[in-house]
Amino acid sequence: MKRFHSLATIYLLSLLYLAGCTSVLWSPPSYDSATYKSLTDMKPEVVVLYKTFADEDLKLEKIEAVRLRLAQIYEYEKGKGEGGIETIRQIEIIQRMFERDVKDRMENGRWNEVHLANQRQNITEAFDIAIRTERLKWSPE
Amino acid sequence: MGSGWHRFIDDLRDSGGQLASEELKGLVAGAKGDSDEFIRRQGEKLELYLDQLARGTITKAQFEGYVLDIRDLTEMQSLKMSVSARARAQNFAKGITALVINGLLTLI
Repeated sequence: MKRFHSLATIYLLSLLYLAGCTSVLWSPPSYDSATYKSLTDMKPEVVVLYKTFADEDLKLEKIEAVRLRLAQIYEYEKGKGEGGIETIRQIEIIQRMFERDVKDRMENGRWNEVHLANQRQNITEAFDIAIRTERLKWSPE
Repeated sequence: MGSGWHRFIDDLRDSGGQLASEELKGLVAGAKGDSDEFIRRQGEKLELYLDQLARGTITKAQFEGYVLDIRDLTEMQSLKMSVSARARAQNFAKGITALVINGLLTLI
């Protein structure tokens, strides 16, 4: 019985030590409602812009507006420091995908129905992942 | 849907042996059968794009863009999983404090 108590104590202390290390090694991801709102607002804006890529005329001012909003979100996240490193990287990826799509539209002309559907699905998915990532910080799965 | 693009890649002239067609078929089949919803969806999309390429509905450049999208989305998903692990670890640490340190240890 004494041996059992000793083992239980060692186990509990190890657990506490590991839990302590966890918080030291990994800074806690903190939920930010401003980030969540920016991402959820941005998603339909980009989808609406993509729909215009099927039109003959290219809405350059709208492309610039999206570019600016993404840059602002990125700078806001970067200002928070290392705690939001995953979101910073995710926004970089969204910017990369967006620029690839804009380049494609500019170089290859208007999008047909199939291409628009594929592109819209992927950029939507990118925003969904970033939004869910932010929500996870508030309510882990 | 699979047979169309299977035939397409089998018919490609690959004198340099650059295309591992059987591995590609295996990659798509494996992803589509994966237990993870995200991987399954990417596998289904890859198959859709291969089929669209085989039917000539999309161009090679468009196909390449979609594949890069899948790669980028997978990187984003991996970052999400990292946050999930950190958040769960943090929750565990909070639970230890509340239930063990401030609970159990005050009673024994």
